Amino acid sequence: MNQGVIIAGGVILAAFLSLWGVVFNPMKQFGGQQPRSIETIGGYYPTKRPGMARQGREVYRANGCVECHTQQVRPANVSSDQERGWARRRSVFQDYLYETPVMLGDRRIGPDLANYGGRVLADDQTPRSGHVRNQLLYLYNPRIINPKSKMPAYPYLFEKRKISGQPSPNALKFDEWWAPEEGYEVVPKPEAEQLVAYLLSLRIEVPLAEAPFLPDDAEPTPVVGSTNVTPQASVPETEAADQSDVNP
Amino acid sequence: MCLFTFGLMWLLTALVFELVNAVQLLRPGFMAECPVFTYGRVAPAARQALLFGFAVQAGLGMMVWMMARMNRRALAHAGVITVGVLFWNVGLKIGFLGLLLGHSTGFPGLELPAYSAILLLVSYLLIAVPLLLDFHSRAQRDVYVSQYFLLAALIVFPGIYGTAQVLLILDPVPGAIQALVYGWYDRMFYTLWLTPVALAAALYFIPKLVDRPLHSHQIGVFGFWSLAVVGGWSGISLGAPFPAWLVSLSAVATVMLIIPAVCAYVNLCKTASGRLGLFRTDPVLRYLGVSLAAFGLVTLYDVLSVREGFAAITELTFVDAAWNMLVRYGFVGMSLFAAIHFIVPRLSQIGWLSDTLAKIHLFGTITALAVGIGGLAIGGILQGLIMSVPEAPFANATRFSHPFLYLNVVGIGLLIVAQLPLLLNFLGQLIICCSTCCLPDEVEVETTTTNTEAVGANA
Repeated sequence: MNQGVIIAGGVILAAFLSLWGVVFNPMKQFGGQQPRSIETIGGYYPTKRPGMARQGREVYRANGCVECHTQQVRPANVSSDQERGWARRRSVFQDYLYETPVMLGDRRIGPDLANYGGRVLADDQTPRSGHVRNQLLYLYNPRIINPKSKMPAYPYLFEKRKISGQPSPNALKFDEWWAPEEGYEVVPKPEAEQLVAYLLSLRIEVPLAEAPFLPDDAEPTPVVGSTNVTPQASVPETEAADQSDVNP
Repeated sequence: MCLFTFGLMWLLTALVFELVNAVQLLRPGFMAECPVFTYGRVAPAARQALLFGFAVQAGLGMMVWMMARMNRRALAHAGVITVGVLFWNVGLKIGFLGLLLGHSTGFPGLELPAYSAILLLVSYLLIAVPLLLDFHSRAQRDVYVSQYFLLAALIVFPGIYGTAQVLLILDPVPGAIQALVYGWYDRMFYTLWLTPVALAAALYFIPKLVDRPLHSHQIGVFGFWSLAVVGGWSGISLGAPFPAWLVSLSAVATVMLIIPAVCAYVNLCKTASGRLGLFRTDPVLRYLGVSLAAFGLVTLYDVLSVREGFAAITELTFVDAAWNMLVRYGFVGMSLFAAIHFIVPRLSQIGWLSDTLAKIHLFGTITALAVGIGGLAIGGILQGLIMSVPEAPFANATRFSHPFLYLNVVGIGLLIVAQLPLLLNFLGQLIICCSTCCLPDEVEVETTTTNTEAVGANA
């Protein structure tokens, strides 16, 4: 028999078998997954991301945030992700049901973001608008919040413009060192607000049968500071800031 | 020749963008004002330039030469192949710019936007189909071991790339299955394209240069089939959110990658036995020696990565980046440099303009890789050790690995400088080749060959 045909046939068969095993078999096992009704939250998990957050996912993808951040809390046998306080359970298939593209990431130059919204919003002393303000400042230049951060700045997601009339209620509020020159303000573009909405929507706080929470006696100490939760900037909680709350 | 030319141009492009990336890791404000040069866009662009621009094109250039030689038949469809090459570069350039403009798909290894991917797929078929037709009508009917590997690479790429595009872009599969698809593609590209191309180079050039037939055809073929069978199943990381049975199965397949590595080593060592001194003196063999050493390290890392303790320290750290650098430049890159150094003088029918430049390139590249990979590996291990301690702030992982990233910058900078001698030498060859109007179908096929691999030869 023609050796070329044997080689071609064998290689194609081997490739197809691996595709069947690695992709189609799990797809058969998990492809039919649907959102589950969860008693503890009185609703379904997961839910589709609202419009702003979905648009924010596209901003996340377009700027290659996946190059530095993962979205996968790993199991305890190969990581300390859960003990560190990044989430109370590991990531599982169900968490990505409505994600496309699924951006697990393969490098942690920055912290894992699978439960970033959960960690940030766990601080209920600060209203959501305050968290949004912090996130926008962080995106504009991470060194404003954390001087030692190695994350790139994204000033192009913002617009620096001359103030005409009254300052915009959406304008970022800086300390003197970072403030733009007199008569100018920095306002977030829609992409910045969408990205923040997406980041704050990243939550895996629902226990699942295949991924229960860590036992209570293994409750991790919440880690704050320049680690994995954006510290609070000294953002004055003005009435204007509350009124301009970015809706997710 | 045009494949090598484009390949080297893309290599330089990739290295420059990787240098920008490496500097940005240390100075995050570097070029941050410009969205086109933000870290997250430059990184995938550099990666695609290296893999599709340099590795694939130089690999195809090597394939064109080797297939013609082993088929004992001149290239019959050079024109079609040339059109394919030109369109490949057009498609890649469009995709490269698309990545810088933020059109990435978000899938690692498959970042090129769909409008570029379709061009690449069609271009690849314009190159691969003529080569397969030539193979089909070859004068030499027996199939050499190197040809097994080259055929696998030729056949597999359109299948895996096309399948991944369909399952991720055209009609996306649901949820985390997408991660399985792009992981599968990535692993298949490594085990059934990059590795076969690099091993084919070793299995072809080493017997030629040590003046002996390949030790064992059977061992070579067994190594090939073992790679083909297990390759696509390997490489799933232990911490990934996938079913436990799949992670375990993949771990077994990853360990089994030892088999093709051992087959290659045994075959080549037995072939070169008693003539290993040539690896110190012959320029092409020097490159291949480094390539095979890198292959050993890469396989060792793969095998160790299935151990939980090892994975806990190395997964998702700069150690992965070091592994990638070792694969792309150390293993595959060095084998392609060996191919270029062997083939190009035979195309231009004149030796390299300067052996000194060739030596500077070799030793400069080795030094650069040692510095760059070493820095990433040490930084990555520190990162992993710190991240494994729950009480340690994450910022410490960045802080302690930071100094070693300077080595990464130095390594990539040295790598760029080390390629200049090769580019100078190559430019000289290109001028001579073009001026003597050397076309692929005019290359003479030797009817009497010495030092060729003999099919089925045993000790």
